[in-house]
This record gives sequence, C-alpha cells and structure tokens, in this order.
Amino acid sequence: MNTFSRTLLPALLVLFAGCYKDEVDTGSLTNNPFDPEYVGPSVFEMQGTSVQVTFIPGIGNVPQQVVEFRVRNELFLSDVTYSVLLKDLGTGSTAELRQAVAGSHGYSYVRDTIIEQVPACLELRLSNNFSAAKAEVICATL
Amino acid sequence: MLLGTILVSARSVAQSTGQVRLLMEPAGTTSYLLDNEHRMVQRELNLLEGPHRFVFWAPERKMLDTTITVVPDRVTEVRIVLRYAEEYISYRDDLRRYERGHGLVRHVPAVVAGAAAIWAGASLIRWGKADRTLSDAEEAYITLADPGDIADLKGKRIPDAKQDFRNARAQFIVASGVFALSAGATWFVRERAKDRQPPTYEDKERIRFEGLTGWNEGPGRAGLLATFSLSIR
Repeated sequence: MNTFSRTLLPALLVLFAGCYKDEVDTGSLTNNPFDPEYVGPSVFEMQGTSVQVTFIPGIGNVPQQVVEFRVRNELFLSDVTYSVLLKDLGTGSTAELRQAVAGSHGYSYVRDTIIEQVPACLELRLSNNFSAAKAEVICATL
Repeated sequence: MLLGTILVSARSVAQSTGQVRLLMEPAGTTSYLLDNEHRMVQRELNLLEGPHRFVFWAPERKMLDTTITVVPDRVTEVRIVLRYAEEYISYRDDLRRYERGHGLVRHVPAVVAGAAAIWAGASLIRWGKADRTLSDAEEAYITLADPGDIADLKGKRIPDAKQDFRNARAQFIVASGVFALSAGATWFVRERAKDRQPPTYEDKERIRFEGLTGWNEGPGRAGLLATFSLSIR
C-alpha cells in the first residue's frame, strides 16, 4: 500500500488530470486574418485616393483615380506572403494585387474612371493558393 | 531370527519345499505379509509345500489378501497387480481438481491483468499521439496563410483530431479501469487462495496392513525386516 500511495497513486492522478485537458474550441479560432471566418479588427486600411495623370503615347495625358490602401500585417499570426484579391464595386472590375516588394504591405489600385463625390469602394480579400479569405470593403471619396 | 530358521528347518524335515516367484506391481514398493506373521519384500522365496496366505500391499494401493499353494520342487510364478485404493483415487481426483482450480485462480486474473496493462499502455500511447496531433493542428492555425487550408483545418482536421483524442482518452480510461479491477481481483483471489488447503491423503490401507502385523515402519524396523527375510531363504 505504501508503494501504491507514494508512487502509483500520484502518477495516476497526474495521468487522469490529463483527461481534463482543455480541448481545442474551433469556434474560438477566428483571429487569423486568412481565416474565411476571421473576426477581429479590419485587415485593410484605406490610405486615401487621388488623381494622377498618366501620359499614354498616341492618346496623351489620361487622368486616373488612384486608391491607396495597406494591409495591416501586424494582425498576421506569422510572417507570410500573400496576394490581395480586389473587386471594384463601382466598376465591377477585379484584380489580383501582389506584393511589389517583400515586406511591403502598401498597395495602389488605379482605376481609369474618375468619379468625384462618390465613394470609390473596393472589396478586398487576402488570398493564397487560389483561395480567398473573408472580404472587407473599404471606401474613399475623391 | 535364529528361531525362525530353526522352525523352517524342522518343518522341512517332514515336508518338501517349493519356490515362489512373485512378479509384483508396483515393483519397488510392494510388500506383503506371509502367513499372518512375516512382513517381507522378497520376490523369490522357498516355502514349505501347501497353501500360504499372502497379504500384499503397496503405498496408495488396495490390499490383496490371497492364498498361494506351493508345489514341491517347482517354481510357482505368481503375478500380483495391486489396484489403487478408492481413497487414493478420490484423493488424486481431489488433488487434480484443486491444482486445476488453484492454477486457474492464480493465473487467469494475472493474465487478464497483464493483458489489461498492455491494453492500457497501448491506449496511453495512442492518447499521447492523439494529443500531439491535436496540439499540432491547433498550432497549424497560427502558421497557415492559405484560407482553403484553414477552412479544412477547422472543418475537418481539428474535429477529427478531437474525436481521436476523445476516443483514445475513453479507451485509456476503460483499459485502466479494467486493469485496476483485474489487478484488484488478482490480489483478492490470491489472498483467498492462501486460505485454501490442498487435499491430504491418509493411506488407510497402510494402517490396516500395518495393523495386521503390529508393524510400524521406521529406520530400526526396516533393518529387522531385511534380516528376517534373509534367514528364510
């Protein structure tokens, strides 16, 4: 009985304590910005919109609206690469924006149509391997 | 001894003798009482002609009381097979039952406990693996950057790992419970078995046989038996 109470019993108690190990609650796993069920602060941050004039040979100067935003990489749970799927809700056009420089999280979207006094809204998603995360919409008014 | 020799010699004057050869089974342990007087073990002996009473006995065997008629100047060969005594047969059956029961009682719970211990050990290993798989899946959520992989992780891999973890844990609890029960049963049964005494055998035929001669076997008596037998031949 002494051997049992001194060695076996504590071992069994430790062992059975493991039975009550907290299980993984998948419902609480929502803080990864790449998760389609992501819940948390906005991943995309509007930087602003402006008009730029681009010279196109044969056509001349063409005004374009530039929408600048950044991905809040500080929300990422690990250091990763990614692309951004963009849908212009005003024109319906789509694009996939890649990181121009590794470590850079600022993006610019150039639309040929300039609409003033109307918010230019973009639906944005983080993407990898042809699958997209939760969509967010950001808007900027020229 | 001398008196015995004289008696036989004196009677031989009037009667012829014949030889008796006894083929006794069991061979080494059979003894006999000759003419209600002499306890002997010899296989061959010369006797006066005529009928002689022999009472054969061997340990665990039933006594055989018979008369052998000695023919003068001839060798009379007699085969004696002693049957087992009923008490011994009964004792042997009891002993067999006891040993079988004792063996079952001692070994079956121990074997069950051993098997349960192996099962519990295997379950524990499986539980550990399931736990690691679940932890790995949990950590993968942090490192994954593929929305499709994350959806698969949350929709399939983690639920599957959780189910494996629960199954392994339940199996371990059952196995360790079986082990605890069987170990307790082993201890209990062995404690109980200590109180069970094996059957004992009392050779009643021996008592009866020795009662015929007033013989009590012992080191001194055995010497007397050998001396007397030699003087007859």
